[in-house]
Order: sequence, then C-alpha cells, then structure tokens
Amino acid sequence: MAFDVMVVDDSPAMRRFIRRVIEVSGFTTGKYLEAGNGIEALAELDGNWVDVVLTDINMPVMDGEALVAEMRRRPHLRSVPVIVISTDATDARIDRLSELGAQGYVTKPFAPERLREEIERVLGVTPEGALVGATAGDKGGGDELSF
Amino acid sequence: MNLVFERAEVERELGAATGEVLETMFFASIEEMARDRVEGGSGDRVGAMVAFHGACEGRLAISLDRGAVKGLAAGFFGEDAAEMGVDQCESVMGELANMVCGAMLSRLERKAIFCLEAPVAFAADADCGGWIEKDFALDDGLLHLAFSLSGAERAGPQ
Repeated sequence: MAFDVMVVDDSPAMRRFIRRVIEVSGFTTGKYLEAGNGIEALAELDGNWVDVVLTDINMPVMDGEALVAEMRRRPHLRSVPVIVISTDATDARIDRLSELGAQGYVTKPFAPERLREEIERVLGVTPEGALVGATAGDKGGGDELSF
Repeated sequence: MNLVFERAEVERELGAATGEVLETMFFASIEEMARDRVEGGSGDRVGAMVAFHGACEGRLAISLDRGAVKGLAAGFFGEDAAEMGVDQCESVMGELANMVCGAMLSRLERKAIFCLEAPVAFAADADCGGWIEKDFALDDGLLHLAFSLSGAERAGPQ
C-alpha cells in the first residue's frame, strides 16, 4: 500500500532526513512532494492529492501555523491529515496547532520510531497495511528501526 | 510575558538539550569539557547561529571542527563522510543549532511561545561569545556553544 506524502520544511537537510526516516520505517511512498514554505505547499496541494502532510512551523513566507489554518479553510484540503514536526515542544504551541486542526505533533529531536508511530496513528495503518489497534500482534510498531 | 532564567538552569538545559539532539538525531555521543581544559581547535571550523524571539530574545551560536561536521552530516544523512560537501556541512550545522536551541527553550519554559529564525552560517573564528558558553567533546572534534539572552531576561551571577 503506497502513501502519497508532502513534507514542508525550509531546510533541505531536514526534508532529506524525514524522507530517509519514512523510507526506513517501511512506508511505501507513491508521490513524495516537498515544499519550502506554506505558499509552495498550497500551490502543490492544489494539483496533487496526498494522504498526509508533514510540516515544520518556523518557515519564511508562510509558516506552519498559517498553512494548517489555510488548509482547514479550503474544502478540498480540509480532510488531509497534518503532522507538525518542530523543535518547539512547548504546551502553548502544541495546543495552538491542535486547535488549528493539526492531527499529529512530533518534536525534534525525535527517534525514527517516534515519527513512524505518529504516521501510523494519524493514518490509522501500519507500513504493512494493518489497521492500527486491530490486534497488538498486527501493529508492527515499537521495534527499533535499523537506521 | 517577561521570562527570567537562572544561569544554572540555562546551563543545565543547554547541556541536556545538546546531548539529546546529538544522540537522537546524529547518533553521536558527547562528553562535556570543563572550560579550562579546552584547547584551541584545528582552526578550520564550521559555525551556525540561530536567533529567537517571542517570549524572550536571544541567540545560540555553535561551531565545530570541519572534519567532525562531516562525520555528523554523514550520520544525519546516512551517507559516507567523504561525500559531505560544504553546503551539506553548513546545513547540518544549521539544523543542529536549530534543534538544540528549540529543545532548550522548550525545556526552560513550556507555557511560552518562541519563534526561531532560520539558522545562518558564520565564520567560526568570528567573535561568538555569549552569556553561557559550553564545550563538548565528540569523537573527532570539539563542539562549542555560546548562548545569549537579552539582558533583562537573565538572572543569577554573570
């Protein structure tokens, strides 16, 4: 089962790292889109459906908060799950992103397993295609990834 | 919000955040060095600085021997150190500064909002002193960190 993913981060290095984590996690990606800020992401999303958006917060031009808010305003993007990946681990920021409509939040630094678990939780399936929470044995999570 | 931080608290959280970031994202272990034991590095160092504002204002500057940066970049990207170029080394140092700064600020105050600006590269031999400076030994280099806060937000002995 292939997932279409968009990663939004102004750092090419972090986009590359996240892609590597997704690949190591065992998720099969179909489309893998990248954007350097919220405006670029919205332009890409207008012509491409994705299963999940992973976004940073602090970015030039349009930051992650504005991106999430704008996605929730646009009918065709309203249901696309968003996972925030940020160094900001403050309760205030996490609460604000949740109120705006982000479904997941991963704070940097993160172990690869942490990002996999959050993607599984938000998508509701494991990399192997099993429904999350169906049975403990089917989940496939919690193992240390070979990185 | 007017935040005031004690020096000892900032020192502790800076060290903890640095260790957490390097171990988790770069698969590197560190050992803190006493400042009076630190000797000059090779001279060829890579520097990065990130400024922040919001609940308080300041900056974190870091620098590391270029050879060690290549090792960090290789760990981060999962590639060979010999293949790491200048751009990759600078971007990885920027990410390191960004993550250490963000993790430390979150440890210091969970109820506040901070905004980190994009990291910038700087000449590592430039003056990057700070309110708090720390040095950590990696396997093949010395990581220097200099953290500064605007004056009104410091507390404790200077």
